[in-house]
Amino acid sequence: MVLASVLYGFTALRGWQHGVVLAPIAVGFAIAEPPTRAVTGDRPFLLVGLAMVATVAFGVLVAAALSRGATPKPSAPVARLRTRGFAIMLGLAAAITTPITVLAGWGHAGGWLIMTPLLVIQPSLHDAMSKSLRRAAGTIIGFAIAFVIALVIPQGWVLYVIGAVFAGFALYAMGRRWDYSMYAATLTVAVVLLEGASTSVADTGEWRVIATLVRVGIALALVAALTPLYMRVIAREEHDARSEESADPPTR
Amino acid sequence: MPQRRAIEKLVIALVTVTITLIVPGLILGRIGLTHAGVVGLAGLAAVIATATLGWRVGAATGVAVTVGVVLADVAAAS
Repeated sequence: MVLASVLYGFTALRGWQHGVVLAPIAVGFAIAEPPTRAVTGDRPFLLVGLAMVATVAFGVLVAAALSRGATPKPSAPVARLRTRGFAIMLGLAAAITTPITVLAGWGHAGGWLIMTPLLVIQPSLHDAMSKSLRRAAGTIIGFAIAFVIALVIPQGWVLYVIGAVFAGFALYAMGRRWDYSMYAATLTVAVVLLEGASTSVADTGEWRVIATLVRVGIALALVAALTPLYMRVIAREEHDARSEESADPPTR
Repeated sequence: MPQRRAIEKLVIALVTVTITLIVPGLILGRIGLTHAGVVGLAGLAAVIATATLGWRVGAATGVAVTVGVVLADVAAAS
């Protein structure tokens, strides 16, 4: 998980971090709760691999066909030093959250613990703080919406479909670069409904709200602890920029 | 016109995500494999990477996430 997090961190060099963030999250959930075969109880690597390849190929083909002609929209590339700090912070977060999840046997709920730092920690310190607060607000709003939906609609496949529709809204909100709290709210509704459809939406939502607040706290503590590293990186960037300016004066 | 384009994009996002999330769940449920959520999430990762960064990055993300999940599964079993 540490390796996956660090590799994800380095995608910021090309500005890909927002587009590929779900990849380390999927790995985190697989570590938290490895797939098992309900019938025999063994771990079917081949079946999982085949199912993954088929699903991923389907996703790439459909998304490529639908977005044909559109220009890729990566974020602005992040400077090398700042990217290094970002990757180190993600690696440290994974080194803390993954053993907690695995040793405590938290299962799927532990996946959420691994997931939050990946969503909250950003290459820029200011963005990380702001995103954490928006995520907490969005989660509470999302839980309230999911709870009302679950009160009106009985459990079952309808809730599953509504959850999938909200996942689509979350994707749309991300694509349109709406406020992050909107994305967090729609994603929360989707996760709570999809997770809780077969058991209890109220229990799933309640656990998610509590767990998210705890996880946001852990992520913020990590960000605060690593602030000195960030400040050094920023100071070095500014120093390098000044050196370049003085070495290459603008021509008039 | 921009409004119509935005609605088209919303519909496309909804249909793609719904299929990517529901189809693996149905298939894996039939063969008795638990935790289809990880597979759906991996598919969603590929969809988002393709939609925002192009099919090459989407395919690379898909390969990376498949290798990562299978390795995690193997490590958990050992």
